[in-house]
Amino acid sequence: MSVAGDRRAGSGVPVSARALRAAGVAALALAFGCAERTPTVAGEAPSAATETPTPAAPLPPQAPIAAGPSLRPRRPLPAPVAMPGGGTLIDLRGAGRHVRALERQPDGTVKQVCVEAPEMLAPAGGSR
Amino acid sequence: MSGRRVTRLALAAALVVLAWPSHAAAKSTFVVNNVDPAGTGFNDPTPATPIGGNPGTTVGAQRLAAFREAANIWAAALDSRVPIVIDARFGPLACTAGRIQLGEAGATGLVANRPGLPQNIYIPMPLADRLAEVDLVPGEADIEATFSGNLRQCSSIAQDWYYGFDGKPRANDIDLISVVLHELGHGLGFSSGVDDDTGALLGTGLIDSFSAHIFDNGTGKAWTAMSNAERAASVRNVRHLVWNGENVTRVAPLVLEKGAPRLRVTPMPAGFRGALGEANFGPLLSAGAVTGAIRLGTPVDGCAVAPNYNGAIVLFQSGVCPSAQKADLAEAGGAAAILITDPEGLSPPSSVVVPPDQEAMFPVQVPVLGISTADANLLIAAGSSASLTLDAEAARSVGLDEQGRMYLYASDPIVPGSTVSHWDPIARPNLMLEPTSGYDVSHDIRLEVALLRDIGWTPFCGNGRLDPDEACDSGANNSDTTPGACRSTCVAARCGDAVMDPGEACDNGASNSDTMPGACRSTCVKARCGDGVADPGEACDNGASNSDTASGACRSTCVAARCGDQVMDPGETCDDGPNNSDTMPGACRALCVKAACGDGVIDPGEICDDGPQNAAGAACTPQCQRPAPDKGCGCAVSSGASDAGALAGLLAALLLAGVRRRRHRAVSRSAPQARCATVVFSGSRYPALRAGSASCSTGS
Repeated sequence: MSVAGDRRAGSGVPVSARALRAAGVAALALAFGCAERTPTVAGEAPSAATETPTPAAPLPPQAPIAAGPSLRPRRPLPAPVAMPGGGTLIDLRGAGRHVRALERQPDGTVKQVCVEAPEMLAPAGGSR
Repeated sequence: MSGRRVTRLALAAALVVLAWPSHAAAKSTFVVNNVDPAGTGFNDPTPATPIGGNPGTTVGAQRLAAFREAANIWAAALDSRVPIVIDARFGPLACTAGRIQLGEAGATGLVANRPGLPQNIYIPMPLADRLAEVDLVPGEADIEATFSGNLRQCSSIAQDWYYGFDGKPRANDIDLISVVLHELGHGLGFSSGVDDDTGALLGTGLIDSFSAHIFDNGTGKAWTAMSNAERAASVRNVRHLVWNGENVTRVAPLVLEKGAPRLRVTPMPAGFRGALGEANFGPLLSAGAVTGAIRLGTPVDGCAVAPNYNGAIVLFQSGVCPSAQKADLAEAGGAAAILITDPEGLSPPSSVVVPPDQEAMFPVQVPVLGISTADANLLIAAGSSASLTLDAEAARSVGLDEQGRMYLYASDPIVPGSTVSHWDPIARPNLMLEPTSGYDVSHDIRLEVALLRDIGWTPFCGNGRLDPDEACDSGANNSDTTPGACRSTCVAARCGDAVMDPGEACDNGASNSDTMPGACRSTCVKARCGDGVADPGEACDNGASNSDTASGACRSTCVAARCGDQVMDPGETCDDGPNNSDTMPGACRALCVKAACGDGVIDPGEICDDGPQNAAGAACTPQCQRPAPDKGCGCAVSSGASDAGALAGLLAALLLAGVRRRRHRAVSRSAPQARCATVVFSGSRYPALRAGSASCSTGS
């Protein structure tokens, strides 16, 4: 079963209106400083409305906007030490923290992400 | 705005309200140490206007109040006799063009093999304190937390923190409470100590309290039973890492929505994972299955007017333009559904998220889902020979495996800082401890609390020991349904707990009411006459004012005052109850009016009473008297004769009067002189004749 045709008929939005909205979004993205674009793939024709699709072409690799995952060496945790009264303690003060960051996405949206970024623990800039 | 978006926002708003009540009786104490220097961070003196329930009047005060609000939400949900101490600061944190560090937190230590605590397992410091019921490292905080004091300076779009308590940040701003809740969750124990890359355990090879609950449903092995290499592989076993804990498994179906998305491919390409990410716009798959062939978008980024896709499922690369725009254009080109690759090539793919304004601008009506680049390439390679079916498993909660266990975030490649120590991002609704979040805001930590209970943050209530603030604790026998039992919250059975306990006639819990007709009363007695509420079958009920003697009062049997109840009520001139009579002379009548001339009964003082026939000129006057003697002959009756004698006398008098009247008529024309003869009756059995005399005019 395919439901797309029925739903498209229901949407009734002309292509010209869609193009106008697209222009609006582009302007909005610029206004909000989101003009960065992921590089288009060589040989790609971005606006060929009548272009014949090429189903066998693999998707080009995409460069993540953040540092590549799992590329950083994991910072080793401190060694366990004996506790007064028994047991062992791994002292995590100043280490082993979870970091929440705000990340801009290729399409201009932003999202919160959890990262492990020891280098980001270093202060940068002033604070008020 | 799509119905889905509305639902999500409504749900998020509801969750903000329904989340753990921040001002409920706290189960633990979270001490927030402000370690910022004067004039900065929590001590920033910049004036601020109270917002969203945050009463602070400086930026620093609002920061501290919001932080404490988040801490209180956790405190209301977790039990600890030992205060949980957080060293908190609002310091400068790093930011780059593409990433701004919002905050970070973590436990200050991991404890193992402490006497009295579970052995051979690392336990985060706050939990170790709670289990030991003593501060194991006095003078040191249990959690350290730092949040960005320079968010506004870092942001290119003037984003700032939102310090309100209501979870309703202004556009672009970041809800501080949400981020603090998330980070404190990690500090409390929502964190794996296993090395993502190597699978190595902590220290000398001990697992931690979080990782001890991780299970791989692909290999059928718990992490506790795996080698390092097996764990390292399991970290990447997408949609196979699940949480093995009874509290989470019990609570998850109550939190998660049903209708898990599914992509099936025939024939299935080797290595195809089929892990999907949902979009926060467009319809959900539960609306019905979508079947079609795969088509690569033209252009592949989907950011230009599209050709005719003829009902195909169209695949796009992420980025360049908003995802909603791609979907909108593809829908216009005839796409049945849209798949968009993850921007970082991750499997499972991230959720496809657009901000509310873009969602409103592109009202997409076809399903949109995220897919990993690897799976996308396998579909492209399969080409038109593959048939795709997108549908939803209606009975399956979104975020649970087939056995009802919550997915944890296994990813390929590993995302340091995200992988393992979060829920899988497929969960719907979005959860507090997901690795990413978009534009919705929630303060709901129900599933995270369940997880923390699984690792040892068990409530004191239920341990069978009477702890402070508990009225009772029968351990496993605590029950919210057994009459008279200690309740699951360790309060004694009571009227109002919806269980009919001994001594109670009824108990409908919150439906008990002292004003609703027929309801079980707040004292757990049944509705009854005299409780002041007119219940079914009662005409009235004025409670203590019910009276069987007061005029017009509701009677003690909850019937209205009425004629015949022996009380002269408003509108009545008498009421002798059962003695009311419409035939007894002088009696109060059945309609509670006094005996009167005209009621058809000759009452004392009346000579006659013919009821409605009383009339001037009739046998009985309106005054219940005989007509006054006219010029002819008339009769009056006086008492004194026996019945027989009286009757005989009366007849004689009448005869005599008739004779004389006739004679009189003849005579009177010339001699209108009249005289009357009198016959006296006494003891007559004829009431009309009793106690009277008959006097007839004789005309002479």
